[in-house]
Amino acid sequence: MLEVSCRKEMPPGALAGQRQRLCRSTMIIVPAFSIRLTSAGSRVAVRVSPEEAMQRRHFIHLATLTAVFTGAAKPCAPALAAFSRNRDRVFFDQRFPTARGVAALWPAFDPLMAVEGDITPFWGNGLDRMTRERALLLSGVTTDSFLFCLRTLAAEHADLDGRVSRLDRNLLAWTIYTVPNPRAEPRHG
Amino acid sequence: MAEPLPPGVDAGRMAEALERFRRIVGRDWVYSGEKVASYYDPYTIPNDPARHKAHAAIAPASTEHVQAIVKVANELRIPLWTVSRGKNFAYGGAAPVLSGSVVLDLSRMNRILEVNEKFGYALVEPGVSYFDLYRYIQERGLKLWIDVPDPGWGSVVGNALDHGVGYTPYGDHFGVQCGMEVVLASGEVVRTGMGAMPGNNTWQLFKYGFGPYVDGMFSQSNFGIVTKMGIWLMPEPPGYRPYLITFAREEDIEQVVEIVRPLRLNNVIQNAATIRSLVLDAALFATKSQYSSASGPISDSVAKRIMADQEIGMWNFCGALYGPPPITDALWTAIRDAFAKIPGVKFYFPEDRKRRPDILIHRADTMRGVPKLTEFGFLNWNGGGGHVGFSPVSPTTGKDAIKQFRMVSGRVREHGFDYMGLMAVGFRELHHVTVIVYDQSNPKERQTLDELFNLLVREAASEGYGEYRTHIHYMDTIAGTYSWNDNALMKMHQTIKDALDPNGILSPGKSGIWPRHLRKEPKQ
Repeated sequence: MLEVSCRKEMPPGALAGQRQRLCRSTMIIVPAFSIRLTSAGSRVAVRVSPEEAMQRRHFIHLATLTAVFTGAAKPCAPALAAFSRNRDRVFFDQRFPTARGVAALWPAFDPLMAVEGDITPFWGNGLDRMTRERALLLSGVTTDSFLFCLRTLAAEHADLDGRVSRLDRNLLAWTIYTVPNPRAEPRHG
Repeated sequence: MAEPLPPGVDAGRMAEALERFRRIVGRDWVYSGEKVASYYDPYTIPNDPARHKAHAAIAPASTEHVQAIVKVANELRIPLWTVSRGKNFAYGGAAPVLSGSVVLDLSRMNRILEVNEKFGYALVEPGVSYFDLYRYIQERGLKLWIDVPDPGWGSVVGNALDHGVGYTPYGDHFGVQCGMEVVLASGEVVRTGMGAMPGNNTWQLFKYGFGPYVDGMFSQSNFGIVTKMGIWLMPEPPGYRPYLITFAREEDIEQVVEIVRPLRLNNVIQNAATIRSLVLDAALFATKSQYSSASGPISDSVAKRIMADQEIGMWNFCGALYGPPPITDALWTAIRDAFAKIPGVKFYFPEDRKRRPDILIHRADTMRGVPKLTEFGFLNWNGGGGHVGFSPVSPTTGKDAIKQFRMVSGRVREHGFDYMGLMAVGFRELHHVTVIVYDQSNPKERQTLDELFNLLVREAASEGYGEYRTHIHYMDTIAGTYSWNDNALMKMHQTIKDALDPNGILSPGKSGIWPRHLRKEPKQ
C-alpha cells in the first residue's frame, strides 16, 4: 500500500464525488477505486493500492491511438510483475500546489520529474528509448495533455495499461505501465 | 456497442474481407473488436456514439500490401478510410467520416527512403513522423531543416496532403511537396510528375513533369492512396534570429495586418509567421484557474493580469529572420520601423525573455523546424481537454482581419468559450485558425460547441470566408459552402470520383466527396 498525502484546498470526498468512467476513446477516467480520500482536518490523505486495483480488474486499457494497434488490451504477466518494483519515473506538474504536495510525499527512491505541462523534453531525453527497451512503471500528477501525449507516444511501441483519476479541474493522478511490444514496427531510416 | 457495419455490407461479407486482409498483412495487423477503440476520435464532437466509428483497421507494410487490400475492398465493396499516422487530433484523428469503414492505417510504412542534402529534399512513406525525419537528419549531421506543424508526431505526408502549415519559410507544406507515388482504387500504382518517366532523376526536383499536374487531386481527397511523397527541405541558414512583437489592444489586429501584408509580399517577413491571441499563448503554459475562478470567457481585468504576468500582448507576432547577419539586421530594421508606429508595441528577442516557460523561447524552436508537442498545453486551459479548429481563410487586409476576429470571437465568447486564435501569415492570405477548447466529458458542452461551429461556418460563408480544412464531422458542411455555380466544383469532384473509384471504396465522405451510392444533395 502506497500512502500519499497532500495538503490542498480540495474538500474531503471530492475525488469520490468525481468518480466517473468516461470511455471516450483515448480519455478514460476510471473510478477512483484505488484512490480513496479520507478527511484528516485540513489534510486529505490519498491512499493508492495498485495491486488491489489490478486484482479487481479495474485496470482499463488506455486506448490511445496505437495502443490497440500494437496489441495492447489486457494486463499481462510481465506488466503485473512490474508492480512489485519501484516506479521508473514519477512526474508532477510543478505549477500546481496540489501536484507539488503529492510529489513531496512520494518515496525518495522514486525518480521525481518536475514538469510544466510539456512532455517533449522528457520524451526525447530518454523516455522514448526506455519504453522501447524495457517494461516501465510510470506515475504522475499532471495535466490532461501531458498524459494524453505520453500515452499516445508510448503506445507506438509498447503495450499499455493503467489507471487515471481526476484530482481537480487541472490535474489527473495516473499510473501507467508499459511493456515493449515485439510486434511494433521498427524505425526505418 | 458492436462495431457498426458500413451501408450495404453484412456481417458475413465483412468477416470474409477481414480474413482476406489477414492473409495479406498477417493476423497481427488487422484489428477488430475492442482494439478498434484506438481508432476512435479522442475528441469526438457528436453525442451520437454511432457516428464516425470504424468497424476494423488494417495496417499494411508496403505499397504491394496496399494494392492487394484495395483489390479485395473493391471485390467486396468494403469502404477503406486512409490515415497516414492518424494524429490529426483537432480534425478527427484516425476516425472515419462513414461509420463502418475499415481504417487503412499506413503508420507501419515508415521508411525514410532518401534525404538529399545537396538538393534539399526527402522522399518518405506516409508513416514517417516529423520526429522521425528530424531525428534522421540530426543523427547524420545533415545541414537541412524540416518544417514542422505544431504537433511533431504527425505524418510528413499526411500533413502536406491535408494542406497543413508550418512556420519556417517552407511553411506551406503542400507547396513544398514534389512527386508522389499513388495507389489507385483499381490497385494500379502511379508516380506523378517526373516520376512517371522510367530512369528519370528529377522526381523530387521538378514538380510538374509533362501534361496535367495531378498531385493536387490527391490532397484532401479520396481519389487515391499516397504511398510515397517527396518534400523539399530548407538548407540550414547561416544565421537565425527569432523575435516576438506584442500588441496591447485587440483592435490593433487591423493595423498589424495592414503592416504585415507588404512586408510579407516583399519577403521582408521571411517565414510563415503567426499573430497569436492572448489566451492561446497564455494557455500553453498556464490554466485559466490560475488567473480566474469565474466561469465563461475571461474579463478584461483578467486579460490585463495575464499580459503582465506572462509579458505578452493581446496579440503576439512571432516571426524569425533567416540568413547572414548583415541581411537579417537590415530586415529587422525594416520590420521594427514598420511596427513601431503602433501605440504600446513591444519588441523582444529571446535574450529579452526571462520568464520560463516562455512563448518566444518555445516558438523559436518551432520556427527552425524542431518538432515538439508543447502546443498541446492549451488543451488544459479550462479542463476537459477537447479541441477543434475553425479555420477560415482571410485576405491579408486589416479590414478583413478585424472583421473575422470580431465575428468569430464574438460568437465564441457568447457561447461561453475563450477566444484562442491565430492568424498564420501566408504571402497573400491569413489562415485564421480558432481553437475552441471544450470539456469533452460534458455532453452539453459538446452540443454547445456543435451549435457554435455550425453558426460560425454559416456566418463566415455568408461573408465569403471559407475554411481551408476541417474536422471529419463538418466535412459535408464545409464542402457545401463551396457552392458557386450550382456546386460545379463538387460535381467535378464527383465525376473524378466515379471515374477513379467507381465502387466508392476510398475514404467515403472525405472533404464531402461521396461515392455515387452514398451521395446526397450537398448542404446549402
